[in-house]
Amino acid sequence: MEASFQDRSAALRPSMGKAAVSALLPPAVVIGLAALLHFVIGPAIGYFYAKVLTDVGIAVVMAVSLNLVNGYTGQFSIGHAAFMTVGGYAAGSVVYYGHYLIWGSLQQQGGFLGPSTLLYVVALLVGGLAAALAGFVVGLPSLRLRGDYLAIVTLGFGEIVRVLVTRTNDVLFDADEIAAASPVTLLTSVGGSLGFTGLPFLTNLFWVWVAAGAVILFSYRLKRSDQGRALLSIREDEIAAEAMGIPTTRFKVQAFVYAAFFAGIAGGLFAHEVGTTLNPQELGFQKSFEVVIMVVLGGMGSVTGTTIAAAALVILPEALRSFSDYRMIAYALTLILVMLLRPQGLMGLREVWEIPAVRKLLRSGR
Amino acid sequence: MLRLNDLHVHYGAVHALQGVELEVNQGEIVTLIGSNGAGKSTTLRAISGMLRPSRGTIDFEGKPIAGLAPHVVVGLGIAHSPEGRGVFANLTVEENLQVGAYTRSDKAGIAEDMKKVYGLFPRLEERRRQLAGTLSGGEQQMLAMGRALLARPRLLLLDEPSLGLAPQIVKVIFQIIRDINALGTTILLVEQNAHKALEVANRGYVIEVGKIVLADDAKVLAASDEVRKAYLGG
Amino acid sequence: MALFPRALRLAPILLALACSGQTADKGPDAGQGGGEHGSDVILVGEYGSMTGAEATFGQSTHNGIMLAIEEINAAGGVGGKKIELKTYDDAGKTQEAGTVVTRLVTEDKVVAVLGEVNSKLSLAGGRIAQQFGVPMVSPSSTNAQVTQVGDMIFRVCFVDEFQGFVGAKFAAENLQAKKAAILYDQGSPYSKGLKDDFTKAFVGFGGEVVTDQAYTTGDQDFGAQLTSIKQAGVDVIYLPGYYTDVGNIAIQMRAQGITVPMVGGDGWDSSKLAEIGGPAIEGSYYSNHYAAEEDRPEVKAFVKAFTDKYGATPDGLAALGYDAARVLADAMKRSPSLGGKDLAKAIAETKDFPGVTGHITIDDHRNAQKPAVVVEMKGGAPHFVASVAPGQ
Repeated sequence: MEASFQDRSAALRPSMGKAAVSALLPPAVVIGLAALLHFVIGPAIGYFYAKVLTDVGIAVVMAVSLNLVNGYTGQFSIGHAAFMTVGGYAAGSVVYYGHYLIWGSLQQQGGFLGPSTLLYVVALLVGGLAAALAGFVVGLPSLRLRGDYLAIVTLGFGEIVRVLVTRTNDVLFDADEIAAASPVTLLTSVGGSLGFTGLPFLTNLFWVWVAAGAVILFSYRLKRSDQGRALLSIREDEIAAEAMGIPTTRFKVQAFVYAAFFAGIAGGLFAHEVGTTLNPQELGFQKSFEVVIMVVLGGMGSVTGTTIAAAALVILPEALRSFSDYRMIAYALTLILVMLLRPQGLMGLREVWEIPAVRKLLRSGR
Repeated sequence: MLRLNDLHVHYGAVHALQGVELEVNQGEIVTLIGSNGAGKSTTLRAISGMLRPSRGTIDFEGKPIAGLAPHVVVGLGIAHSPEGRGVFANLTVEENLQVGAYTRSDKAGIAEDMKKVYGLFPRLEERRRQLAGTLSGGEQQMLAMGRALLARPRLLLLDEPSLGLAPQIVKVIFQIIRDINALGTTILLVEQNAHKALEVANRGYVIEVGKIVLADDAKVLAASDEVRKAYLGG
Repeated sequence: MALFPRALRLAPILLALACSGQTADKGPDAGQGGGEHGSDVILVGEYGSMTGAEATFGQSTHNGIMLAIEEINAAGGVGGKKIELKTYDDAGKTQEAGTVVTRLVTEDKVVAVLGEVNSKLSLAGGRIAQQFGVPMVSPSSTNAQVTQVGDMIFRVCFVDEFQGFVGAKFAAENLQAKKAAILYDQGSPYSKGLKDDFTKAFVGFGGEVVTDQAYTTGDQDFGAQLTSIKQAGVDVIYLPGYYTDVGNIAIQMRAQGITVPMVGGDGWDSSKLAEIGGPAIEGSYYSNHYAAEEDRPEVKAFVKAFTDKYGATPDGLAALGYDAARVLADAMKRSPSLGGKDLAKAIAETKDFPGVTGHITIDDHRNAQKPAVVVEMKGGAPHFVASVAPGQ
C-alpha cells in the first residue's frame, strides 16, 4: 500500500515524463517478454514445449481472472469455463465467418500482425466483451444475495451454455452459402457437440502471453488500488465493508464482469490454439473446477500464487504422462498433500516477494 | 442532528422495530441500552442504510435519509462501527484504515486523519503493518473505531464496543470514546454494558422489544430503579 | 551491481533452454524421415483416451494395436526392424490430444500416428499430424470430417453414412419393415449423423420414417418419446445411440409393450449392453465392424490370439486397432522410405487388405471401403447375421 501512495504522489508531481514512463513501462515489459517468448524461446524449445507454454498461458489467464472473484472478493464461482465458452464461440465465429465474408476463404491473410491476425485480435476482444456481458447478466441478480447463490447460479449457467452450444448446427464451409446466410444462421452454425472444427490456428505464444501479462498486471494493480482494497474487505467481512460505505453489490458485479471478460479472451485463445477443437464438453464444469483448484491451490487472492499454481497444474500432468494410468492419482495426491500442509494455498493472500525468505533473498541480491 | 420518527423495521415476519423515536443532538454522546435482541443493532443498521425501514423517517441534519444506500449515508457524514468489530483480518492495520476512508478523495485530509487516529490509538501505529487478524480483541476494537473515524464522520455509530473485552481494556475504550467526542464527533453508542455506557453518555434511551420505553438524562437513568434492576444488576 | 547477481541466477535456466533448442527441430518437416536414424526400431505413436469417460474405448483399441505389433515383430518386423509403440493418454480432451500428437511428432519423432476413437479428438490430433506431414491412421473415427483434414489422414473403419445405409438396408430387406421410428441422441453428432443417413437410405428402399424423437446423453426417462413412437405404430425402431442409453431405452420400451425389433449402430458394441439391457435387448440388431464368430481365417486367428493374450473376447474397437496397426505395417513394407509422403502414398494404395474387420481398400477420400456386419443380440451376446458390402 506504500507503493500505491508513492505512485499517486508521483503522478501528482509536475514531471509528466516520469509519470508516463511508470505507466507505460509495465505494459511494454509484458509485450517485450511475450515477443521474446514467441520469437526466441518458442523456436528454441521446439513445438511441443511451446505448446505446453501456450497451454500454461491460457490456464494463467483463466486462473488469475477467476482469482478476482473467488480470491479477492471471496465469492464462489464454479462456472468460469462457461465464460470461456461464450468468449471462444464469439471469437471463433468472428474469425471463421469473418474470413469467409471478407476474403471468401479461410486462407490466412498476411503473417504476424497481418490482416488475419488483426481480425483475430478484434475477435478476442469481441469474445471478451460477449463474456463480460454474460457475466453482467448472470452476476447482477446472483451477487445481490449473499452465500452460495453464486455457486449454484454459475453452475447452472455453465450447463445452460453447454446444452445450447451442443444443439447448434454443423459449421458451414461453403463460401457462397455463408455469404447468403443471415447472422443468426451463422451464429447457430458452430458445430454442435462435435465442436467448432476448422478454426484457423492463430493463437501463438505472443498473444497468449500478452493476455496473461495483461490479466496479471491488471489484477496486481487492482489489488493495490482503493477498489482492490474494497474488494478484499468485502471478502473479509461483507457487513463491515458495507458499513464503511463500500457499494458491495456494485463491486462484486464489477469484479465478476472483469473476470468474465478475461475468461472470454481465454476462450478465444483456446479456440484458435494449435491442436484443439473448441467444443462444449471440454469447457464444461470439469474445466471450471480445474480453474477453481488452481486458485485455491495458489492461494485465494494471490496473483503470483495463482499464476504459479496454474503453471504447475498444466505442467505436472504433462511431466507425469509417462506414468500413464497413475498420473491422475499422482496429480490428485499432490493436490491433497498441498491442501493438508497448506490449507490457505501455497501463498495465501501474499505475493511471491512478500514471503520473508524471498524478501531476504531479494535484499541480498541488491 | 439525528431524529428517528416512528421507525419500523421488519425481518421477514419479525417486527423488529415497532415505532422507535430517538434524537441525537450535535456534540452529544447518546446511548441506547437494552437487552439482547431488543433492537439496538437493528436501529443502528437502519440509520446507516444497511436495513430498509418499513415505515417511519430518519432525518440527519434536516435531510431524510431513510432507505438510502449505505455508501450514500457514509458520504453524508455518518460512520458505523459494526458489532463484532468486523476488522478485515487479512489486511494490515493501515489497509483497514484506508478502507475506512473509502468514500473520501481528499488525500491530504485522509493523511491528516490517519495521523489523528494514530494519535488516539498509539498501539495501532506500532502495529500498522501487522495483519489485523493478529491483533488482540482490544486492539481490534480500536482499529474498528479508528477505521470508522477515517470516514471523518460528524456522527459516529458505535455498536457494542466493549463486547468480550477485559475490564481494563473496556476502561481504555470508554476513555477513547470520550476523547473522540471531545474532538467534536457526536456519538450514538449501543451497549449491553449499561453501567459504563450511562457513565460516558449525556443522555440515554432504553429499548425493549423494538420500542423505546425510557428516555432521560444518563444520570437520571443510572439512578432510576427500573434501569438499575433490569440492566445494572442491582 | 544491482541487477547482475540476479541475472547470474538466471544463467543456468537460459543455458538449459539453449541446449534443449539444439535437439529440437525447427521446421514443419520435423517428422519427415523420423525413426530412420540408423536405429533398428521404427517408432510409431499412439494417442487415445486411457483415462476419462471414454477410457474403455482407448484401452480396447490399445490392446488390439499391441497384439498386432507383437505379431508383426515376431514375424521379423518391417524390413528387419522392429516396430516400437509409444502411447500417450489424451484423457478425452482435444487440448491434450493436440499436445500429445505434437509430442509424438516433434519430440519422439514417430514415423506415423495411430488414433483416435472419438472423431473430435481425431480432428484435433489430425490437424497436427497433417501440419507436420506425418501420416495418421484412425482405427475407428467414423465422422466424415476426420479424413477431410488433409492427405496425411486415413482411417480403416467405414464412415457413418455407410453404417446408416447398412441399418436401413437390413431393416428394409431382412426385416421387411415399411415404417420406421428413430430415437436419437441430439447431443451427439454421431447419433445425429446416423439418423440422417438412415432416413435417406430407408426412404431410398421405399420405406418411410414416421417419427423421429430426440433425447440427450444421460437422460433417464424416455417415456414421452416412447409414447409417441408407440402411437405411430411402426415395424422397426432405429436407435443410433451409445450402449448405456440404448440399454435403458430398451428396458422402458419393452415395459411399454413395444415389441417391434430395434436396430442400431456400432455405438452398441460393448459387453455392457447386455448387462444394462438384460432380456429387453434380446433379438435386437446392430451394424458393426466385425463379429467374433464370423467364419473367416483372419477373424478366427485374431480372436484366438486375443483371447489367449487378454482372456477376453475382442470387441470391434480392438479389431479396428489391430487392423489399423497392420494396415500401417503393410504400407511400411511397400513404401520406398518411411518419410511422411512416401508412407502416406503407400497407405493410400492399400487394396483388398485382408483385415479382421473385412477386406480393406483405401479410397480417394482416404476412407476404408469395406463391408459391415449385422449382429443380433442373443443369449446376452452378439451373433453374426449378415454381412453388407458397400455399393450393393
